[in-house]
Amino acid sequence: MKRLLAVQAFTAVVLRQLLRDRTALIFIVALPVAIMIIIGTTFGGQQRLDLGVVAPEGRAVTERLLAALADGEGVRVHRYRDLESMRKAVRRFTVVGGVVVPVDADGELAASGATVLSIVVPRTSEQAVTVRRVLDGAVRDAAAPLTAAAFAAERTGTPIEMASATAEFLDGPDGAEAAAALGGGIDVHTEAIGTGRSAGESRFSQTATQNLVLFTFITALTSATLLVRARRTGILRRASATPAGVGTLLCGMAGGWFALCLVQSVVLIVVGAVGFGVRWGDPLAAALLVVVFDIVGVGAGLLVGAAGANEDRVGALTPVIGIVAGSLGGCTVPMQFFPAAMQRVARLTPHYWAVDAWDALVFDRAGVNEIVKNLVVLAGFGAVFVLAASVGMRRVLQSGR
Amino acid sequence: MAQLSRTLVICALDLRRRVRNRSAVITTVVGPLAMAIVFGLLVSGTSELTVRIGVVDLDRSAASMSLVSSLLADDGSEAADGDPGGAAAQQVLQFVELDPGGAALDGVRNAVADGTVDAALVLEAGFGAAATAGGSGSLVVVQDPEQVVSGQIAASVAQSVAAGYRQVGLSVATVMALAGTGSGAFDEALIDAAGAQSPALSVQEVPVGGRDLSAAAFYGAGMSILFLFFTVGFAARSVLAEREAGTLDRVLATPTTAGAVIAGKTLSVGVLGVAGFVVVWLVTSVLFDAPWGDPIAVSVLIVSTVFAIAGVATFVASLARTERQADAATAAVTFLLALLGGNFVGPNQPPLLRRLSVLTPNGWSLRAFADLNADAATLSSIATAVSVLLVMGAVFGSIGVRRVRSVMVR
Amino acid sequence: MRRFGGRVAVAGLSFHIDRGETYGLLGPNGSGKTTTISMIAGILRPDAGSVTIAGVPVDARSGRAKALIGLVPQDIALYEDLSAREHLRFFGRLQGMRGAELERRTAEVLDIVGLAERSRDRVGEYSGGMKRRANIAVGLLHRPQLLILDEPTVGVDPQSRNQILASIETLGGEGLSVLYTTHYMGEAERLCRRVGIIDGGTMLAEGTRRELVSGIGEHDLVTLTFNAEAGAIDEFVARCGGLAGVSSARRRDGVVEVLTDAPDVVLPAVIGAAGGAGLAVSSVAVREPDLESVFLHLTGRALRD
Repeated sequence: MKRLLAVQAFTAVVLRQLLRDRTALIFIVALPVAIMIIIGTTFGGQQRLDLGVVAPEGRAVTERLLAALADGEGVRVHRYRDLESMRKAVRRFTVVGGVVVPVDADGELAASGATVLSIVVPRTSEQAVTVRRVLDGAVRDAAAPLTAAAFAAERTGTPIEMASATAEFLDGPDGAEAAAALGGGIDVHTEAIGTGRSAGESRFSQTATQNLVLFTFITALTSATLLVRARRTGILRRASATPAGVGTLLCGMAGGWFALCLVQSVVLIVVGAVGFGVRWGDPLAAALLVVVFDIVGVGAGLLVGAAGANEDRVGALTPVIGIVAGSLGGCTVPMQFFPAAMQRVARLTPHYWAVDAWDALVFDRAGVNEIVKNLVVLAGFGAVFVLAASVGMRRVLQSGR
Repeated sequence: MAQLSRTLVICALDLRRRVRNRSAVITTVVGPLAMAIVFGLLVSGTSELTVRIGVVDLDRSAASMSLVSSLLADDGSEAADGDPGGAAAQQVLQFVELDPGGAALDGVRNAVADGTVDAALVLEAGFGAAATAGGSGSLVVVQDPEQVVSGQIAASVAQSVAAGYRQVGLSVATVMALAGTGSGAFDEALIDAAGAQSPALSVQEVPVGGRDLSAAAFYGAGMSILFLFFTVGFAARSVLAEREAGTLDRVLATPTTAGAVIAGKTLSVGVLGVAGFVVVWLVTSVLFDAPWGDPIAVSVLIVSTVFAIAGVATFVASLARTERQADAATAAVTFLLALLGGNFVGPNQPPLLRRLSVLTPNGWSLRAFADLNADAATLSSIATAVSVLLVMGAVFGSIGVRRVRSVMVR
Repeated sequence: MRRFGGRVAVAGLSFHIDRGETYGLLGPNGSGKTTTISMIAGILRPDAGSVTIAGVPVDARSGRAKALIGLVPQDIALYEDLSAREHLRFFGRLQGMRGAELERRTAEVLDIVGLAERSRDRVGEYSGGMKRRANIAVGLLHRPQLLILDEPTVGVDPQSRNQILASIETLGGEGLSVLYTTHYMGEAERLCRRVGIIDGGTMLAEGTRRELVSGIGEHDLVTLTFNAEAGAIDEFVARCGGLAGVSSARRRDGVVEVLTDAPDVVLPAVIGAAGGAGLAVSSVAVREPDLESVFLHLTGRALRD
C-alpha cells in the first residue's frame, strides 16, 4: 500500500511537470486538433476527384460539360486558362486530369456537327483509368443532345440551330417525357453498401482516429527524454538509495506518462465527438483500445529512454520516430493508398493495429469481439516493449550510467 | 575586417559543437531524410490495384444482354487512340458477370461487401424495354464506400451507358418532332441509324508532358523546410543559452562585437541548414531516381529558403527571454507555419489552404520546389518565390537580430 | 555609476591600479563587485563615469581596450563539450592570435594552470578545481595588461585554491596588473598590496592593509567561544560593551568578538566578566587587526553574512 502511495506521488509530480511545459501542451492538444481540422476540412468525408477544365466562358458546350461533370461522382472542377497550365497542374497533382473545350467548339458544332475535345490523363495507370472513364461519362452525357441535333438536322434537312433547339427542349424537363416515351429513359441509381463511410459519417472521423493514435504515441515517446534526463542527473541512482527504490520511481514515471496519454486521449476524443461529430463507437471497446495502446506507447517511451544516451539526441529523435512509425502504420497516409509491400510492413507497427481497430469501431460499428485480435496484438507489443525496457534499464543502472 | 574573422571563428566553433553533439545531425539530416523516405515509399503513386466491376443482368432482354457482352469485352484499354498508357491500363479495369442467383440485389451487395468485386452495375428488370421502347428502367450502381475509385469508375460507366441510350432516344424524338410525325410510331431503321451516329463530342488524349511531381522530392523539400526551423532557430536560442551559461559575457569581453557574435552564429546555422537540405536533395534524388529539377534553381531556392526561415526563426526566438521559452515558441510557430504552408498535406492542396499558404515562407518555398520538380516552373515564378523568401527573411531577421542584440549589449 | 531599473547597483566608485600591482576588491556578496568588474571589462555600459586602461578608454564597442583585459568571471563560463585546448584556441582567435604564436601561448598557459596533461579532455569531465583553473587560463591567454579575477576560488578544494593563489602570485611577480575580488579576507591579505572595501555599491575605504588597519585604530580582535545559551551570551556582550578599552563587541552564534586597542587590559576584564555571568569559556584567541576586523568596523557586519 505504501509503495502504491509512493507511485502515486511520483505520478503526480511527473504529470504536473509535463503540464507545466508549454511545448508539451502544443503537442498534446493544439497540434493534433489543428491537424484534424485542416485535414478533416480539406480531405475528409467523400473523396474528391479533382479535374481540370479549360473552356471558353459562356458557350453551350462548356455549360453542358460542366453540368455533366457536376453530375459525376465526387468530382470537383478547377478551371484553367490554357492547356499548358492544366498540364502543369496534372504533373503537380493539383488535379488528376482534365479536359479542354476548343475555343470555337460551338462554331465547329454548327458547321460540322462535331468537335474534338482534348483530355489530359495522368501517367499513373489507376488514376488514368478513372480519369478516362469519368471524362468519358461526362462527355457522352454532354454530347447526347448535340449528337441528336446533328443526327436530326442531317436526317430532316433542318438547319442545325433549329435541330439543336428542339433536341435541347426534348432533353430538358418539359420534353423529357416525350423523349423517354421513345426509349433511352434509363435512370441511374447509386447505392452504397453497409454502414460504411458515406453513411453520414463525420468527415473528421478518419483523421480523428489517425491523429489520436499518432499523437498519443508521440506524447508517450516524449517520456524517453525525461527518462534519459533522470538517468543523467542521477535522480534514478538517488532513488535507488531510498526505501521506495528504483522500481517504484520507474513505475511512477511510467504511471505519470500513462496518465498524461490517457488525458490526451480523452481530450482528443471529447474534442472529436463534441466539436466534429466523430462517433467513436462502442464505449467499452474504445476504452480498452485507448488503454492498451497507451500502454504500448509508454512501453516504447521507456524502451527508448533506457536505450538512449544523450538527452538532446533522444529529444530530437523521438518525434521523428513517432511520425515515421505512425506514418508506416497508416496514421498520415490512409492505408489503402499504400503499395502492397508497405501494407505488409505496416503490420509491424502497433499503429497499424490501433488504426485498424478504430476503423472497425468507428466505421463498422464493431464491438469488443471484433477487435479482440487487435487488442491481443497490441498487448503483445506493450509486453515486449515494457520487458525490453526493464531489462535495458536494469543493465544501464548496474553499469552506473 | 577583424570582426569578419571573429565571425568565422564563432561560426566554426558553433559548427564544431553542434556536429559533435549529434542532435544537430538528427534535426538537419536524419529527421527530414527519414520522413522523406517514408512518405516517398508510402505515396509512390503506383499501387497495384485492379478495379473489378461486377455486371448483373436481371432483365435478360436483348438490349441488356448486348450491353453486358459489350461491357465484358471492354478490357479497359480502349481509352483513346495511340494512348501511351494503354498497355499499362489493361490490367487495371476488369468487368465480370455476376450470377444473380436467387438473392438478386442482395447477392450483389454481398459480392461487393466481401470484395468479390469492387463495385457492381445491376441492370434491373425492365431495362431493355425502357432503353428501346420507352417506359422507365434502372441501372443501379452498387458501391463500397471504402472503394472510392471503383465506385467512381462504376458510376461513370453507368453515366456513359445511360447517355448512349439517351442520345438514341433524343435523336429519334428530335427527328420525329422536326418531321412532324406523331410519337409512338417505331422506326427500327431510324433507331439503328441514331445509334450509329458518331457522337458530336469526341475526345483525344494529349500527353501530360514534362515530369510528374515525385513524392520523395516533394516530401524531401517539405520535411527539410519543417526541420529547418529547429536547425536555424538554434542561433538565437544559443545566444540565450550562452547568456545563461556566462560564456556570452566572456566572448563579449574579448574585442568581439555583438554583431560579430550574431553573424557567426547565424552563419553556422545557415551552413548547417543548407548542408542538411543538400544532403536530403542528393539522397532522395539518387534513392528514388527523382531529380528535384534544375540544379541551379534548386540551389538558389535552398539558400533563399534557409535565409527566410533563419529570419523567421531568429525573430521568434528573440521574443523569448529564456532558452526554454524559445524552444516552446519555436515549436509552436514551426507547426503553425507547417500546417498553413502545407508541409503536412500532400501536393494536392485544397484551395483554402493554397490561399493561406501564401502567408508563410513554407508555402512559397514548397510551391516553388514542387513547380521545379514537376517541370512546371517558369523563371518568373521562381524569381517571385525567391524574392518573397528573401524579403521575409530580411524583414523578420532584422527585427530579430535587433532584439537579440539588445539582449547582448546591456 | 550603473543602475538596473531603478536600483543603483554601483555609484561613486573610483580607484586605480598601478602597473604590476595586485589590487583587491573586497566586499560581501551583492556589494557591487561583479557589476564593477563588468563595467571595467566593457560588458556593461556605465550610466555615468568612465574606465581607462593604459590610457585607452573602455567602451563596449572598442576592441582596443578589451584586448588589454583578461576577464575571469565568477561562474565557470566554459563550454562543457569542449576541451581546455579548444577553449584556448577559440578565445585566442577572438583575441586576434594566430598560428604558431597561439599554439605556443596555449601550451604556456596550460602549464601555468597545471592542465597540460588533461588539456584534450572535455571540460565537462573536469573536477571543480580543474574547471576553475581552465576558467582562469582563458583569461590569461592573450597576455592582458590587466587580469580581472572575480572570486576565482569560490567552491574550490584547498589544494586547487593553493595552486590558484600561487599562480596568481607568480603572475603578479611578472608585472601583470591584477584586479582580484573576493570575500575571503585571507586571500586578499595574501595577494594584494592594496585593497578597496566595497559595500552597497560604494567604496568604503581603500589603501594598503597597514593603512586600513591603522584607519580603524590598530584594534585587536579578541574571540571567545562559549558553550552557553544565546540569551546569556547576549547579556555578556552587552556588559562587555561597557568595559573600558572595548571599542565594540558582538556575538556570532557561540562566539563573541571583541575589538579593542588594549588587549592586555581588556582580556582579563572580559574573562572576568564571563566568570561573573556564570559562563564557561571554552576557548580564547587574540588576533592582530586584519581586514576582517576593518570590514567589521566599517559596517558593523562580518564579511560573510
